[in-house]
Amino acid sequence: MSTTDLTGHEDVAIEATLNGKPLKRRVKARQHLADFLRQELELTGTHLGCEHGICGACTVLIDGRTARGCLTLAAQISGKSVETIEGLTESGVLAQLQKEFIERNAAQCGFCSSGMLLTAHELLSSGEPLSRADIREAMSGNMCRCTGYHAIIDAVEAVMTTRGHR
Amino acid sequence: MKSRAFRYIRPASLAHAYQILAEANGDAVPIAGGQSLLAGLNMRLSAPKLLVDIGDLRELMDQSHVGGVVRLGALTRHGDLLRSELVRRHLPLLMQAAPHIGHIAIRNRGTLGGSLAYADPAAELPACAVALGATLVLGSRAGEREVKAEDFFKGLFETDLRPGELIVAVKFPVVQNGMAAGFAELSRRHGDFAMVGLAAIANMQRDRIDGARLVYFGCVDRAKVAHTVSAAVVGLRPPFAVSAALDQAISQDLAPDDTPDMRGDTKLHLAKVLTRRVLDGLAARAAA
Amino acid sequence: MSQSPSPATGIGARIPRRELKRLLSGHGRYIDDIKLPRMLHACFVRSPHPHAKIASVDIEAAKCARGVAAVLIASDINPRCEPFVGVALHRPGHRSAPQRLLAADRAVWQGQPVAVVVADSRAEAEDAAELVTVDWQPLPAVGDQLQAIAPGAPAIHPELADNIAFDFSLEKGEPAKAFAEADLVIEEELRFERQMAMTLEARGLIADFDPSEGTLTVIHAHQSPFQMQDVFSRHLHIPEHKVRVTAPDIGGAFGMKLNIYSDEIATVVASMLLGRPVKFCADRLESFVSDAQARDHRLKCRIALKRTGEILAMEMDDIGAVGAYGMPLRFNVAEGMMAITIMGAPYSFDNYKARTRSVYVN
Repeated sequence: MSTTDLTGHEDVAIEATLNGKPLKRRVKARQHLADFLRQELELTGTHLGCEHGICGACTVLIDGRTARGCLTLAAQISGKSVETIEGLTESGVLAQLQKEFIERNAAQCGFCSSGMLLTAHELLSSGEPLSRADIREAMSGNMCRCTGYHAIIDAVEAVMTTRGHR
Repeated sequence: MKSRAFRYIRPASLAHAYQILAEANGDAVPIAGGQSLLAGLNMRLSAPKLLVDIGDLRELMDQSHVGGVVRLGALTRHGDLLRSELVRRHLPLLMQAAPHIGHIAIRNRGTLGGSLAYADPAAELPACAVALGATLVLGSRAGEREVKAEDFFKGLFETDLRPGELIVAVKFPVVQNGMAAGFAELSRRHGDFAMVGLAAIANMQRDRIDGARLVYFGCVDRAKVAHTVSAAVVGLRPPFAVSAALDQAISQDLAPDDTPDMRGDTKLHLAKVLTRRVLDGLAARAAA
Repeated sequence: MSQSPSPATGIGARIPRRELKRLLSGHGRYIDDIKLPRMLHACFVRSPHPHAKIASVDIEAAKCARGVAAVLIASDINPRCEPFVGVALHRPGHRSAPQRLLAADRAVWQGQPVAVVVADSRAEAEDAAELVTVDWQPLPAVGDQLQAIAPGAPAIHPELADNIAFDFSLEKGEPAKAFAEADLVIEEELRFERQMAMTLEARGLIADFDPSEGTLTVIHAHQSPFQMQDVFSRHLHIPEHKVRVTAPDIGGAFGMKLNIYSDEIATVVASMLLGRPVKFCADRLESFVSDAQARDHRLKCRIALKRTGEILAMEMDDIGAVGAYGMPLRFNVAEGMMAITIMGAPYSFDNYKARTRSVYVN
C-alpha cells in the first residue's frame, strides 16, 4: 500500500491462500470473512450463528489457528493463509474426526459441526496429551444447541487415543 | 447484523499509521485483533468512516526483557502470552489471567494493546496491568510518551489515549523474589465476561502479606487499585477468616451498581468471596 | 446392548445417520446457503417499543438508498393477506384479536415489524432500514401477566374486553371440603421463566412467486412445510396446487420453527409484489425479539395432606403470558392445559381444582 494513501478505500485488493490455493480478489472493506467465504466464494460450510463472536459456528483457520470468521474482515486476510471446512475435508485432514463424529452421532442439525471440527482439529494438532476436562475447556468456545456436547467430546477423546496422545 | 459501510486501509509502517490517524480527524479507528471492534460494528453500535489495520505492523510485535522490565508489543496476542517463556518466567499474573480471556479463537486474534485501549471494565488485562504497576508506551505523529497503567484508565471505556494515538507497547516490571501473583474470576460460563474478578500482586514475607495491590474487575467502572483493601490486607496471614474489617474495606472500595444480570449487593458479596480465594492463593504460592 | 440386533428387523442395530457425512463436510444446505437467480434480501424495521402508536412512517429516504428494490409498509403488504386469528376452535372461549402482517397504526410488541426493505443484499437492506423514520408515540405497556389481569389494566386490544385469551377450570370431587379437613396444607407460588429456543440457525425462508404462472415456491426453514403450504394458499389466496413448500437442512428448530410468523408471510407477499425471489434470514439480534417464546407462567399451588402422607386434594391456579396475539395453529393454551390436566396424574387422590388462564401482554 502506498504511503501517500491516507484515506483508504471501500473495496480493497487482497492476495491470500485459501485452502492451499492462491486467492486474488477485490473485497468490500465492510464484509467480514465469513460473509466473503459464503457469499462471494460460495463456501457455505462456514455458518453464521450469532455474528458477534460468541457461538463459534463461523470458525475458520487463519495461518493455522482458529479464528471467528465473523470477527475478521475479508480485507484482513491479505498475506495470510485461510482454511475452511471444505478444504480441510478435501485434504483428508479431518477424516478421523469426522469418522468418530459419525460413529458417535456427535451432530444432529449439523449447524455447529464445521466449527466444532476445526476447533477440535487445532486442539489435536498440538499433539499434547489432554484430559477430558482440558478438551471440554478448549471446545467451550463452540456452542451446540442439539447434542448436549458429550458425544462431541467423546469423539475428540477417541481421536486423541487413536493418535496415541495419551 | 451487517456492519455499516466504511473504508479500510492497511498502513505500510507505524509512521504511516500515525499519519493516517492524525489526518483522519477522529473519523478513523485502528483495528488490530478486531475481536471487540467488529462485534460492535456488526451490531451497528458505532459508525467509523475508516478502519486502519495495524494488525501486521512489526514495530508493535517485539518482546524483550531488559533491566528488570519485560516489554511486550501492543500486538502481542492473548494466545502469545500463554506461549511466551518471558511471560511464564517473569509475569505469572498474566499467565494466570490469559486462559480466562474469551475462548481459544478469540485469544488467537485479540491483542494486549486492543484490550487495554478498549478498557472494558470486565476485562482481565487492564486489571492485570494496573496490579503489576505496568507502564504503557503511547505513540503518535507527535512522538512517544509513557503513562502508568493506573493513570491510563480514566472512566467507563475511557482511557488517556489522545486522538491519533496508539498503544505501542506495555512495560511490566518483572516479578521479584518474595512477590506472589493471584487471580480469580467468576463468570456465568467459562469464557464469558467476568461478573466479578480480582488481579493481585503481593509482597510476601513467608505467608504474611507485607504489601499488596488488589485490582477488581467486572464489578467496577474501570481498572484501579482498591486502596482500602490493599492497605487492609497488610500484616494478614492465612487463614483469611471472615473479618468485618476486611469486608468493610471491600465495601468502601467497591460500590457496584445493579445491572440486569446481577444486583450490586450480590456482586459485592462475590467480591468478598473472591478476595479470600485470591489471598489464600497468594499465601499458597508464597509457601511453595 | 446385551442382545445382538435382529437380522430380520434391524432393531437393536447401530445405524449411522446417513446425513452426517454431508453435514460434517460443510455440505449442508441451510436456508442462508441457498441462492436463487435475481434473489433479493429483506430486512424488517421493527418496533423498539412494547406498545406505541405509529403516527407516521417515512420511507422516502430508504427507497432511494443504494441497492433498494422496494420499501413496503402495512398498506402495501396487509391487503394481500387474510388476517390470522390464532384461536383453538376446540377450546370454546379462546379469543384473539386478528393479526395482520405489518403494524399499521399501532405496535403491540417490541420487535413487531412495521416496514420491510427489500434490496440486493442484506447489508444494503439494513443500511436502508436505518433511513426509515417512524414517528413512535409510546403508550403504557402491560409487562407481565399479573399486570395484564389487574383491575383497571388496559386491554391491549380494545375489541377484546380484557387481556384474557383463555380461561379454563376443572373441578373434581370436593376440594374445598378436603382442604378444610386436611391435617396439613402446603402452598407454593411457582414461577416459570420465559424460555427461548435459541436455535443456532435463526429463522429464514426464500419466497419465490412466479407471476407468469401464479405459482409460489417457498424454501422454508420450517418444521411443517405442509402446514405452510396450506397457510400460504389460504391466506394469500393462491390455489393449493400452485404452492410448493420444501424444507432444506435446518439448524435447529425445537418447536420454535413450527409457528406462523408475520415477517415470514410478509416476505412471501413481497415476492408476490415484486415478482422476484425474496430471502429473509433473521439475524441473532432479531431472534431475541421475534422468535416465538415459551413458558412464562406463574402458579399458585396447594396440596392437602393427612398426617400419614396421604394426598387429599390438590389445587392449581396457572397464569401464562402469551404475548400480544394468539399464535395461529399453535394457540398458546397447551402449556397451561397440560399443566392442569397432568399435574395430578401420577398420584392417587380424589379432590382437585385447577384453573388456567392465558393472558395477553405487550
